[in-house]
Amino acid sequence: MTRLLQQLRILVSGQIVWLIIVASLSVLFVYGNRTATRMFTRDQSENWDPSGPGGSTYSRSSHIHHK
Amino acid sequence: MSGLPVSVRKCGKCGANNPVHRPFGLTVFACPSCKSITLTDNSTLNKTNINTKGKFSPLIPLQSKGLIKGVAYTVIGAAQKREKYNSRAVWEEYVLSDETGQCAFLSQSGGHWIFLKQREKPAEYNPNSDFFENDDGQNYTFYTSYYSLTKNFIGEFPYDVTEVDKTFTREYIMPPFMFSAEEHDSELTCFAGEYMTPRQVRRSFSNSELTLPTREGIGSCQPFYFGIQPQRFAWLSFLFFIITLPLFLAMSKKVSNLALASAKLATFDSLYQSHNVSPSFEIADGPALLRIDSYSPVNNEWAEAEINIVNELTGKERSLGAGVEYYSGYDEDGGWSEGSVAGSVYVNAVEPGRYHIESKLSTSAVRPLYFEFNVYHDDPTGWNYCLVLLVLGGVCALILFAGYHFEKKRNES
Repeated sequence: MTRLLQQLRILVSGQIVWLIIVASLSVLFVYGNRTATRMFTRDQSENWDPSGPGGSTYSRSSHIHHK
Repeated sequence: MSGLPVSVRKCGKCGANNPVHRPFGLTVFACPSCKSITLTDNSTLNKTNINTKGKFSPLIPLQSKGLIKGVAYTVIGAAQKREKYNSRAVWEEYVLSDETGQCAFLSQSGGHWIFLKQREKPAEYNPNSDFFENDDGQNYTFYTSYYSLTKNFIGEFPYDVTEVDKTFTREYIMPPFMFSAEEHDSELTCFAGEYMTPRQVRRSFSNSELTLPTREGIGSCQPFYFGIQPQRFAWLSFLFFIITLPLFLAMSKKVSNLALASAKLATFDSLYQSHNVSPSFEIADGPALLRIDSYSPVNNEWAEAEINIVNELTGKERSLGAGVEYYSGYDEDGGWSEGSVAGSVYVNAVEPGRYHIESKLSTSAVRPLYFEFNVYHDDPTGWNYCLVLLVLGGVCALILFAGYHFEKKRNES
């Protein structure tokens, strides 16, 4: 067990870049799940709040590429 | 910084007064002025294969003072060496003395620097093995072995620098560390080394304005970029996968296959209309990810439904287009097709509430055409987890690939 822990300590020591990457990805993962967001998937929806600023108009561009 | 020289030695040949830092630990001394070599017993060495008369200007001048790992050192000797059977493998070796007279060494080859200190023989060291586990638990890998020759030298040396050609050296690396074992007449002397960048050397000897060569190739124990160790990076990522997989499986929700809302829109049809308002549906338990699957039998046409997800309580809308397009034909290269008759779009973070969907069809078709879509409550966990693994796996692959070429270049160097 002590040897396993020592190996683990050696494996982790100095791997700051790995920790930063994994921590960033984990934060994105948790944020995505908490907000029900499919990460890096294009969400084309636009919000329209009739009571908000900008009145009752909004624009939206279609993703269809017309031949 | 290091104190004053311990004593002054007058050169028997040219009469120059040379500072000597280790008068009792001195084995060989080469006068920096006339290059004459003196042994410990003050006898002059006349027979040597070393041409000390040749030009030798050390990158770090003798008597330079520096601070390495918090210890003040003075450069007391400098030598040019090469491998006995490989004249292209050349390096410079600097003898450093601290204030107590303890020696350390700094070697430079191709602009790469290694700081070395003598150490005890590691318990697990076996000269017949290509790797060994050092006392700190790190695995060192065999790098090279050689007999060395001294080409030129000046200053003080705590060992007989004139007779190194019978010393067999084995080097093992675990970047940025290295281990060196020198065997001479069955006597083993071990050294622990650590890589230093030219910038670190320049900072260590900040009192001297050093002009150091730029690095060529990869140094023997030069670490990979940003301190990354590619294989450890890959192992850690694999461990991350093993540990997080059960958590992911536990977190994943069972998503119902029942559609929250459905609609069938059509043009030129007596049964269906080109616009629709769905029955109300409920989204409970926090924000939801909605997936809208759409289908239309388009053929060289496009069809798109403008969909408004309306919150019945607040009146807020999420508006998006769900469309399909499919084109096919023949040209000089044969048949071709692009697009699909089915597609999916996603709406992130839909707040809980009661909703209905308003939809309206647009199409390029000038014939009767229908378009249907179903709205599902989806779960982002699986996608997000796979994406995390994909990114991590991609980074791993890149780092392993770069690491492979880094090691290849190191061996070529």
